[in-house]
Amino acid sequence: MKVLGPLVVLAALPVLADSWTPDFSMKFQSVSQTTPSPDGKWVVWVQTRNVVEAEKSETLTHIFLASSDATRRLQLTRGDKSCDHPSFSPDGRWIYFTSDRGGKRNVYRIALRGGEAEAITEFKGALGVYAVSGDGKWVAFSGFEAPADLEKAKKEKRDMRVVDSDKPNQTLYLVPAEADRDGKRVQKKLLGDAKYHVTSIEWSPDSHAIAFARQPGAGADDWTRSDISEVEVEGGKVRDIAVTPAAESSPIYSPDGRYIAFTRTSIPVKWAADQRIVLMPRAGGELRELPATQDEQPNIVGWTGDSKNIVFVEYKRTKNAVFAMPVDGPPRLLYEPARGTLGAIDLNRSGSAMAMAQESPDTPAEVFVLPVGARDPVQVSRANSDIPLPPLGRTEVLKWKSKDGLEVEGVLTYPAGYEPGKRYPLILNIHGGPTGVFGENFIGRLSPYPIAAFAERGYAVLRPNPRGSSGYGKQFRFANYNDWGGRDYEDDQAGVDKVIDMGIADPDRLAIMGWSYGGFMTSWTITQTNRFKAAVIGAGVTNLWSFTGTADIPGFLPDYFGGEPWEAFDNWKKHSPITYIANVQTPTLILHGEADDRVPISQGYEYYHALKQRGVTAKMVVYPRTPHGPREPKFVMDIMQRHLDWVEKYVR
Amino acid sequence: MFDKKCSVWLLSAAAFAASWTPELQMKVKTVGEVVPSPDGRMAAYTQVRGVMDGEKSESITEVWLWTSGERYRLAVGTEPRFAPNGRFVYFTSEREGKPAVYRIAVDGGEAERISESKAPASSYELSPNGKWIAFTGREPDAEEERAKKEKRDFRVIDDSPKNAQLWLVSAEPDAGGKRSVRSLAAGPYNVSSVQWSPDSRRIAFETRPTSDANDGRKADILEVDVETGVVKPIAATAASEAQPRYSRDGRFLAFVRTVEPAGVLSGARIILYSRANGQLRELPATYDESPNLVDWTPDSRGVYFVEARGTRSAVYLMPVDGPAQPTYQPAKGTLGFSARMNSTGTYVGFSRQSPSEPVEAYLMPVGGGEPVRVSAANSDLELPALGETKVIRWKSKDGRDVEGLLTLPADYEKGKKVPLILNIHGGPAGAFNESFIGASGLYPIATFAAKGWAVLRPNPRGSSAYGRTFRASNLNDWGGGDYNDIMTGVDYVIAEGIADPNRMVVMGWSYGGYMTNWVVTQTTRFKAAAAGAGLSNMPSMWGTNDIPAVLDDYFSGPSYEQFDRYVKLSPLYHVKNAVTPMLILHGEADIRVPTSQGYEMYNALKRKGVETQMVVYPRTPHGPREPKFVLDIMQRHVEWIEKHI
Repeated sequence: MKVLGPLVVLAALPVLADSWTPDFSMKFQSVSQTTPSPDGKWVVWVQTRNVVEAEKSETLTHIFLASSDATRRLQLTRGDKSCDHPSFSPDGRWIYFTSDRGGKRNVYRIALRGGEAEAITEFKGALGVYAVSGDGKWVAFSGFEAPADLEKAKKEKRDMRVVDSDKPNQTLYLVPAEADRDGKRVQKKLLGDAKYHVTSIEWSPDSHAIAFARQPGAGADDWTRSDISEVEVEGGKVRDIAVTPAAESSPIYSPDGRYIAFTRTSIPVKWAADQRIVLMPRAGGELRELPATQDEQPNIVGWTGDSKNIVFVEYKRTKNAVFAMPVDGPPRLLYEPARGTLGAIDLNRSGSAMAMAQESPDTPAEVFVLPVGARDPVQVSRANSDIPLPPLGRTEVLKWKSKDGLEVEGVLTYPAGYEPGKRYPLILNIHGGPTGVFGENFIGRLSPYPIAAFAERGYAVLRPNPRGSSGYGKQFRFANYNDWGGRDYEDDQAGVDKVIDMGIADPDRLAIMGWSYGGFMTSWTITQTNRFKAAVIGAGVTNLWSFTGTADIPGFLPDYFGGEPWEAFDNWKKHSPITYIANVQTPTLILHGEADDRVPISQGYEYYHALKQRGVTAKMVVYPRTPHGPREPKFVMDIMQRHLDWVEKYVR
Repeated sequence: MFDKKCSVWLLSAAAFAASWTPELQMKVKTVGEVVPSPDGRMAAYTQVRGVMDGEKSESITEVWLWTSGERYRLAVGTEPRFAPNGRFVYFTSEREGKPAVYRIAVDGGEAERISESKAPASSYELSPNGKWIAFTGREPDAEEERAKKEKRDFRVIDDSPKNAQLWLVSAEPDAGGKRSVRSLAAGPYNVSSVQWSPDSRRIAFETRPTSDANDGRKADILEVDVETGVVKPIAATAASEAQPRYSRDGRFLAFVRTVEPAGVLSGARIILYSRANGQLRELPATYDESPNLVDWTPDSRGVYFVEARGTRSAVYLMPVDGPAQPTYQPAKGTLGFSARMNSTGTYVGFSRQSPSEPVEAYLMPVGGGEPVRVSAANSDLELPALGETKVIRWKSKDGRDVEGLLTLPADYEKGKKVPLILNIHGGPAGAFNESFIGASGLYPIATFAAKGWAVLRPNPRGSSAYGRTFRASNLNDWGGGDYNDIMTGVDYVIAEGIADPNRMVVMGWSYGGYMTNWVVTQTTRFKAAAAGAGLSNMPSMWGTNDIPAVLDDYFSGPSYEQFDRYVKLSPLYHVKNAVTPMLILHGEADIRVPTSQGYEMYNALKRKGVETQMVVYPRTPHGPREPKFVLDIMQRHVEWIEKHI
């Protein structure tokens, strides 16, 4: 599992009418967790749809199956409980998956040839990830058993919490894939009581051992101390594979069993995360660090069947691309879409076929299968293909020079029905992270930012990838250290200048918006310039000092700003939007989830209260139950609509 | 099975042992309002007890009746008021889900509901002629309920103030057995208290723009004509006007007004409004310039009020031509602020307690005579030995006299040095008074004393009860003069040979938590600290709490105008100096000092490697309420101290 930018919104729901409205965008389903069968003849994936009716406001995920030649397609799981994380048994006869259909989340399996699903695990705690052994005999899973007295304490109102002691560690469990004569599967704990938190599970090809990534605790800050160990299934002996101050993760065995490949950061671990692929020869010998990949953030997908290449996916500018890293390097490009970008890539066990989600700015996501070596992927899903699309604004990749001469890229969406020579209002939309990146994704999906709807209403939308973004190499990603609101701000503004110079944007009708770090940059920008007529701050960091002590990642900003606030206070003050709040004149809408642990809602209140007391036009909307990334579809629709309304009110 | 029983028995036996424990302190009940009957021969009072059985963790308030030397429980409810004929006691209760007004006959039978449930009654008063009940309440918002169910329950901050309006309901049902409720006053304001004119024809009431705490200083007084519904302002200026009280002859309306502009440090004066000509007259300042009006004398020549002076509160009289004079000052201990007189003006009821006596309800004839105890809330409790509590005075660093309460260990031997617990109050405009040290609360003073520890509770500058100048003398100076006042108090107790300077612990809630956080960044003399709902980062505190205007008052402006001052007065800014083991306790529903303040301190100490533990209490606002949590907090304080000294 690669490290995502901490201030990035995960899993924005890709998602639709006759016109681009939040209601219409709701119709699009997202596709993910694509998995080809061992023989490459089948593929499974999940489709997630929005359920918005009466008292419901949720997403529902189910598993779909198709033949790789797209001649057959069916929905495997049903019901009002989600099913996800499908994987094939090594013999390809079963599809394992997880679901909370029985109350607690557990592992199930369903036969490819037909019939209902059966439960494999009967875990009473909280189940994390699972993996089926190479010989198909075992299912290993991670999870923790909630302290038995927790529920009781809650009922009896003795539910005070000692901070940092309330997140139990996930340990490893094992159950046989086949039931015994009494129809039972005896669960066994593979590691003793969890002295660390297990985050991934990988079976050795001979099914004798499990390599796992683990970290000291389940906190969001703990990934920086991720290490890798291996446990023997018989006897439970544990040995360390990679235990250093670097963060090591994603161990994957080569099919011949000679290597474990994993990713490793440099030391000290930096939050902008640079990673290399490392090979550990299992027979002994030195670890071998493979050549750097172009973005130094490889996500290992698997090995080719001949054990000669590691397949990984990585950001490449505004796309995701698939690469192969030979065991003696250097990496080479395996596949990148001609248009658009990839998501959810997986390689089958034999290394013969890949499945992936693919989308482009004007095409919603679908699942494709690509036999390794082939050039043209075959579309197997029809999650969104039957929805007639209203006219979309054209989206293209734009390059410009920043103030200091650095080349910066972004994605520009033209107003639908754009007429050259005519100027349009411009939305500047800033991504999170700061290590996020705007890719060539479908612009009509359900997301807080209704790009297609803006374009239809005659707005241009610029989505820049300023320094600090992923996809442009390590140096670019690290270029905003100690400088939030500095050159990254200039990169964004130079992008706006470029679109004005192109004769597209009307400089008197500009709006700015962003979520998370994008909310930081929005709240920063309006303290620096009055060029924007409206601003919307979503879950924005507004005060670096109070942010670091309240976020679930107190180690994050001290890394970006070279020390704790009590050590380098002036630096923290200098880069905090709240320091310059007296400059703000832009009408500002503030949106924040009430259950946001990443950027706590206090960040929104701090900014709102100051604007209110100063008499600046400001409105704050609070979303109950909502973490850093809004999930409930009714809330996402409300957020979309409020973005549209706020801009229409103050910019048009 | 037998074993189990046995151990249960042992446990409860331990709780009754001859020593103070948090468990025992939880058993001490409190007494709230004390209301004399019109003839003074009965009294109704409220008694509060904690219930911690099974899944329960709540405080139950009961209305008790004292009559002919007997007392019995009338009802589960609060806000008791006698009908003019003395036959009924009215009260409010949430027994049917939403708060409503009920009444019960004093001579038997069950209670009947008076107000309809559509507008929950948050406060009420009965008309002097006994015919009407005026109450405040907010109509439930059906749309809001629906939005919640349908998960469209996003909230636009400040968009729809939840304002209560003034309602009227008849005391007696009509021929059809119904009581009609009508809205009497509803406007762009929140109605918060109600006062009937003696002729039952008018109602004076307090309003503020919204029910937000930050608007508390914007209180005004309006009056409504019950028959016509015409509303007119009585006092609606930039000052805060509150506590309207009609004189018995109907000629005046007394109220309390802050000196303009209204702020947390403004003194408040008693004002007489002449109903004949609308003229206002400001009466002389009271000692602490924060009088709590009780009622008028029977002859309408003066107004009684309760006010604190040092560690005691007492009843004073403000004649219409001033100045104020004491009416009743207890020989020891202190009175509750909410004293009430009967409709005839012959008796006053109040609660009273002292460091060694639990709180009870008292009735006192206004014409003279000693108070009579009417309640027996705690008389069944056998009190283990208590440490002696005395008022001490010392000179601060700049020579100013400072006062505080010193509680000695229960078995104190003169000349022996003992551990010292420094407990700092909230506010900062709060004050420690001579209340019962065995009461349940966050800081179990009696238990501390029983453990052999001395407890110092100082009233440093900025505290109330010592006059307005003293209260305002921490302006722009939190952590300065107040800190010196506290530290010189500790020095004094050491110099007296009582405190062992090597075994000292500091703790406090709210501003007391602020000062605790501050202390550990200024000195290493304490071996442990416990900050409850404490402020740590003043700029973020300004932007997140529900009363930023209070900080504007203390620091001469909002944080974005006085940024450097806010920063320098922040314990977090100085946290590099902190080494003291720190327990941090915080309610998760605290909007006064948001939990984020606790997290900021906790994470800084943790990343510095200072021993620290943070405990978060779900559903808990600024003041913890659920008894199981209160008990847990007491126990954690005791354990944290025991661990570190």
